[in-house]
Amino acid sequence: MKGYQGRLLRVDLSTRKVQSQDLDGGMLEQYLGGAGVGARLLYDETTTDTDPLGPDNLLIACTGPFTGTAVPSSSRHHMVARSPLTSIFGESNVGGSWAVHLKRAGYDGVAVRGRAETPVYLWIHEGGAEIRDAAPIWGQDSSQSAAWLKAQTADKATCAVIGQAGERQVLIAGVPHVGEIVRAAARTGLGAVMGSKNLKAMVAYGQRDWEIADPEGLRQDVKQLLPHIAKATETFGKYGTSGGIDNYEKVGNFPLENWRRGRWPGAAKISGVVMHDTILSGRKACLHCPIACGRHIKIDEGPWGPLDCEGPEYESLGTLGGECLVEDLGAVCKANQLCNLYGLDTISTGAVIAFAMEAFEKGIITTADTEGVELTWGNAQALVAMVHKIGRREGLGELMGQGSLKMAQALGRNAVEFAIQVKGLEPSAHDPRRFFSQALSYATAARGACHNASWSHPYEIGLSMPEIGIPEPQDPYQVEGKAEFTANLQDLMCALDSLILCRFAQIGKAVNVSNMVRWLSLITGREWDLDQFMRIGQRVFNLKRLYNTRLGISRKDDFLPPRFMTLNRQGPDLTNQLPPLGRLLADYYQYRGWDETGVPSPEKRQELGLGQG
Amino acid sequence: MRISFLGPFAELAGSELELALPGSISLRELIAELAVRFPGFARYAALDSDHGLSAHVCFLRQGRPLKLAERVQDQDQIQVLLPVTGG
Repeated sequence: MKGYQGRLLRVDLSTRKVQSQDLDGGMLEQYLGGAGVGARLLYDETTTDTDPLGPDNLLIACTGPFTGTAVPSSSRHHMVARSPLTSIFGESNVGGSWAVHLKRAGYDGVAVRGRAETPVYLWIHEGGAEIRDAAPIWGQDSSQSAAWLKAQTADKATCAVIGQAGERQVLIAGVPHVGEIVRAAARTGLGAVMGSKNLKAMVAYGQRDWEIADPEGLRQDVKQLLPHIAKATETFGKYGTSGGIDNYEKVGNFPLENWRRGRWPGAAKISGVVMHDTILSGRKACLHCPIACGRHIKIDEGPWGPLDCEGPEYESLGTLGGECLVEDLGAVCKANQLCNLYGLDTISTGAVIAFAMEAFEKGIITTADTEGVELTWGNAQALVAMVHKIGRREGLGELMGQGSLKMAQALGRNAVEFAIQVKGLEPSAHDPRRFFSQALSYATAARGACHNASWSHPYEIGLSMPEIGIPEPQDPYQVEGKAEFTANLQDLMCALDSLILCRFAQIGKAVNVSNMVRWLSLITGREWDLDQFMRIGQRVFNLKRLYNTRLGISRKDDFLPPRFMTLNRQGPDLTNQLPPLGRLLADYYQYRGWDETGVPSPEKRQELGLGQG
Repeated sequence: MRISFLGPFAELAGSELELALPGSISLRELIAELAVRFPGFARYAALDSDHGLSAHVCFLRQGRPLKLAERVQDQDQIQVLLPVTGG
């Protein structure tokens, strides 16, 4: 099949062996790339005994057939490993330019196992790949490290590089990707996996071409759509992912005070509109992306200056800002930048600080635990201080860096009841009491409380996708049909993550699933139809589920935190409702063809070609 | 009718509008009325090429998305917002 380099880079850090392996064409037809191929490799090549921080864990970074082509918003790859944070399927999807450089270097993906004796980095280029000494940058942050790595390799290279948090195996450490723009594969602790392998960075650069079946047809097709994409995403690009924070606060979707408060005037002070009008110094785009939703901010003076760096995205503002009630935009920008430098997941970091603030309020932790930090709601200084502690694994930061669930279990005294997480992963900044599809998706997503698994709430406000049975936005509180709605969108997102295509291409109905299927045909030279495409998404979603059920995950784990089930946030104009999770899950399992314990049935496995798992 | 313009739309139309309606009108008619009152908002609210709701904006009544043909009344509270925020 065309559209691929056809090679996977295999690296064993224990033996220092680097090999190129031809990718199996049959596997590509079944899984496409990205999340699909990553899930297949992880399922096949790890066991229930694999220690997430041990040498046997497999860290995979995989591109897809769209990567590096004329398809807009496709400069992305998917990282997969067994998560040290949750001990189940770990994954994170990331943009920027690394994926394109990896593919131009001649590889569709890289799979790393083993553990180097001393810190190393991987330099991937057209001539092959080399394991090199990273001792000079061990202990340095992601930005300092990237500058050194580029000087050692290529100025235009992009570095997937951990900061000190990953090195110290902080369980909420991510993998910053530093190129022209900084993006992070932040979720599920993949930075700690790299740290456990003594792998400081994977640096990629190349210019090697590959064959696309109908490049001119693809270019023409995309060209016709570009003006539409530009128009549909104009507002989103102008104000960024956080442009509507005060929208979401007013409609009850924005997380406040560890998810217990209904309304908060501070939201209007940290929105993308305010950022645009005050500290925005430029927009940033992933390679070849017409949307440019990334922010660059500049703060010259004041308590948080100087800052001249990436600005926070919506989820980061929601967790570091809303969940902690910090209304000082400069402080949130500072905390966000520290997360990028240490290599921390902003979502889990903000969420665990909010959890700690509530524990402080309840007297479960005190200033004796925080080394004098008054961990009170809205305390901007405390927010920034705790990011440092987590990044350095210092003091209470040691415990906080293990995520909300493990921290709560260690604290005892019913702290688990207000640790807001599913399967050990803290949710992103969307309230499942506002969108029932979000409730269902948090409960069933492979990696835990993940809104991206379905990216469904926009389809409960303004988007539609008639091709997959969503002719118009669905009522967010409608129970009937919610299972089918959510499952279909989860399948679509798995297919997107295998192509790979950014979710934001759907904004304003700019790109629909018919466009995706047509582009896949033009790239691969094989005729695809909608059913085949959606079946790939369904296969990938079920394979991730099978990875987890093999580890003992079942209905008992498909829960929502008690706060989402029992506390209905109150406030003017809010319409939030408590999600009827039992009914939603029962419908969902039935639609999915899973048994009552949440395991895909033998018939479903057979139907999807997953008979052996 | 109370209409709340959220996010960037507040800059174009003010944060809130009280509108007296004699009876019920369709969302399509309401959008036309708002476009006349707020020219800056009009380009975002204009119907798309398929005569559907603009990709830039959505309208909620009691938290639920409104369709173009749906009728709105004097006692309704409407929120006007961006369809997508977040990443």
